[in-house]
Amino acid sequence: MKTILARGGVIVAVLILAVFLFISGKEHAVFITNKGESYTPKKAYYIIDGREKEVRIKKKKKKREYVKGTNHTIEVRFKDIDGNEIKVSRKFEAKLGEKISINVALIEDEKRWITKEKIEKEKKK
Amino acid sequence: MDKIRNYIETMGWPRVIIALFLLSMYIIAPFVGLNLGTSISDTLIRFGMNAILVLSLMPMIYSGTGLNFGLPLGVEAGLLGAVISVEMGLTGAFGFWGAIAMSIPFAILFGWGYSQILNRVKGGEMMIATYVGFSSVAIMCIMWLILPFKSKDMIWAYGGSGLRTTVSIENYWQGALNSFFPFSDKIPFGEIIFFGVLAFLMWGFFKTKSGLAMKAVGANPKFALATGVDIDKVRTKSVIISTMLAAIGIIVYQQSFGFIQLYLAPFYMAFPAIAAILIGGASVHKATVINVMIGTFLFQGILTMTPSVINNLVKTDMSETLRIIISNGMILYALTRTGGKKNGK
Amino acid sequence: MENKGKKFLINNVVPIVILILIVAAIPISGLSNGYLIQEMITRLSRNSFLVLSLIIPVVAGMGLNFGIVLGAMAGQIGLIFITDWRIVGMEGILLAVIISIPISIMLGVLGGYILNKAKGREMITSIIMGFFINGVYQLVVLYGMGNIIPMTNKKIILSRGYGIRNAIDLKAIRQVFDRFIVLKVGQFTIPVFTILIIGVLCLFIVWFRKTKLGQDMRAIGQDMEIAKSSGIAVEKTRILSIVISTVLASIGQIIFLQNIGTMNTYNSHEQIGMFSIAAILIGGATAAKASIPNALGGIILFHLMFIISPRAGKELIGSAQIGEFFRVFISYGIIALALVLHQWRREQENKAERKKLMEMQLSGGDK
Repeated sequence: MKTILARGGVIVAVLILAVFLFISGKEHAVFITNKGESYTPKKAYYIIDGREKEVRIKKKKKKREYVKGTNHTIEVRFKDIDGNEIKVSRKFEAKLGEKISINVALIEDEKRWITKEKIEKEKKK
Repeated sequence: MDKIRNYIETMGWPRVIIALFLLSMYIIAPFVGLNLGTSISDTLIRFGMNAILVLSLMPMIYSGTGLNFGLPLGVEAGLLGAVISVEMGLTGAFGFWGAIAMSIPFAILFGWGYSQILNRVKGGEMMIATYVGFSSVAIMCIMWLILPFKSKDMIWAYGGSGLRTTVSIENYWQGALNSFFPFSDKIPFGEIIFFGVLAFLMWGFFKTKSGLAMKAVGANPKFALATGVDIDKVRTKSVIISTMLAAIGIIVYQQSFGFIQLYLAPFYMAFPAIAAILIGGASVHKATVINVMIGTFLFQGILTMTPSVINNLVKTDMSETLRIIISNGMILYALTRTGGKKNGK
Repeated sequence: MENKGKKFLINNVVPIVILILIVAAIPISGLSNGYLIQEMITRLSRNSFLVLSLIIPVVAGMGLNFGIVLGAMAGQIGLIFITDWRIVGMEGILLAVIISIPISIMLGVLGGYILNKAKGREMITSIIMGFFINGVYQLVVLYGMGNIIPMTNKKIILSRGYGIRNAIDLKAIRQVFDRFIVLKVGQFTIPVFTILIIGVLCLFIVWFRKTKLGQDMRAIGQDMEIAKSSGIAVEKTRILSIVISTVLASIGQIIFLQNIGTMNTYNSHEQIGMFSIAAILIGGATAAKASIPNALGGIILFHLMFIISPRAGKELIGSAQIGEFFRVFISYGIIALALVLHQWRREQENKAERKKLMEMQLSGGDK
């Protein structure tokens, strides 16, 4: 009886570990755009998760970044319509089955800087 | 009922199962769009190609030197003979018999060297034979590159040196053996008759004094020693005969196939032959001509039929993968049947 | 004193012969010592786990387990899945290991079962078994994946819609272990973490030998009948030795591939059996006896030879192609040589045994 419990316990523990690894190790694609409503900065820069080099994204361009795991940050800076330097940091979560798009031009808008869509599974015949 | 059971037991369950499997393949064939006549003809052709190679395993099995995993060595001798024959421009029957004639000296030489190694490792022949075989293929690869052959049909075009990987013998002696007989492209009478002759010679040989001595050396070395037989010499003889037959076997194979395959082609050639003879009911110590015939037929039959049938059933080409599974599966089956106590690792 | 020296020579004749060949060939090849040393460090860290996995079956009398190919295939299946699911970094490797373990356990049980039915012929059977399971692996990976087994990552699927591509880029987990903890000594880079893991395996092997299970295996290896009559479950224990070896091999293959960074889906595992066994044989192991020094020393010798022979062949004869074939020839020739020498040694040992026995009987000693 004890061995069954012990073995069962080990298997459960490994399964939990596996799920944890899956979630924290999964790579997600994050799409970055630079398209404002009234004003779009010509050049915007962002750093994801404190990486070494910041990435430049020009007006109306799109980029795709990869992040691993769930919790992330993005730090954006650009010059606004009056020439002032804007710097904003945001946190976001990457979940399974969600497509994330971040619009750096709208980074100051708490609600609209990020959009998440559920990914539809393609049905292949 | 009992009579049938007894009969099956003497035949051996594996052989019966495989035979039934093969039979079912032939039956299914027409239903999946395969021509039964072509299927049977294909099987016979493959039988003709491979039978002698399988036959070559017999002497070494009897003399106790085990399953000849070093078959590639004999194949290389045959390749040398074949290549020299093409170099000399021999065609037709001359080409074929010339190839054989020229491979024999090499076979004897290689076989002798091979036997010297095997005689020093009694008990562990099979493993070592495998690697001797592999090494010999590698050395011959180097040879094919540096030997001074000049025939335009064999050398790399554009001024390269060394032989091509595959040499076509379409214009030389392809089909030479069967050309004297009708239906040469459907039923390989020539090959089958040639095999029959060699098989008969084998059978006869093992009834002679030398042959019986060879059997004794394998079955009971101490007894053979006591009757004054020189064990090493007999083993050497068996290895040389096996190597010669292997050389002849590959030449027959090539004349049917139409190509001489050099470099790494002979690498794994021992395995199908060994699978065939084991399927035919042989063991590591005993193999008869019947084993050779039944085994080659069953093995080649399954190898021909199963991929074709399954391909047509599933509409995908899985032949290569299926061949790997089937041929090795059969060897495994045969290897795990006899729980031998012999320490032949 | 003289006898001890002689015994040492005979026991280690294989590595010594190879060492002489290598030392002779190094100057011919023109490779620098620094290059060779760094290569050795890398190859040791890459291959040790795999070669070490061969030890336990030898102890249990199963001979050289060519069936580690089965473990390698299990490891690769694990890697295919994490690549498909896009799990990266350390998490990716660990998950690959977790996935491959149940597969390698199953394959190990199957392998052990087959080998039990071929007692006395384990080595040749394991070679064929490797070929056979390779066929099954192809069936699963080339035809099943993307088909019956759902795959989501289109990048690794063949253009026809199912079946995994020939080569998979593992850059997601490339050198994750190797770079985790790194030590730079002069011009050499040492992957400390990987070496630590290998060290753990060595400790495991040493500890294992002392456990009851390890002792049981040793007993079976020495004499199956006696082991059976002393109550050891011979069949099950033999299978267990193969299972352990297969699981270790799958982890070893993952370590190997994370170092290389690319997986040749249908080839990476094939040579592994041949090379690992060549390595341990060159290190002085035999089908009956294998130790950690055999494994590690063998890797160094084998890989030195592996790197040097094509270059030496090229310098001597002038063609790189010939150098390649030369390397193949040497690899297999060395295994043949090692096996021959092993057999010869066995003969000597048997002769010595018989001599001793006769002397004992002649001098009227007790049984």
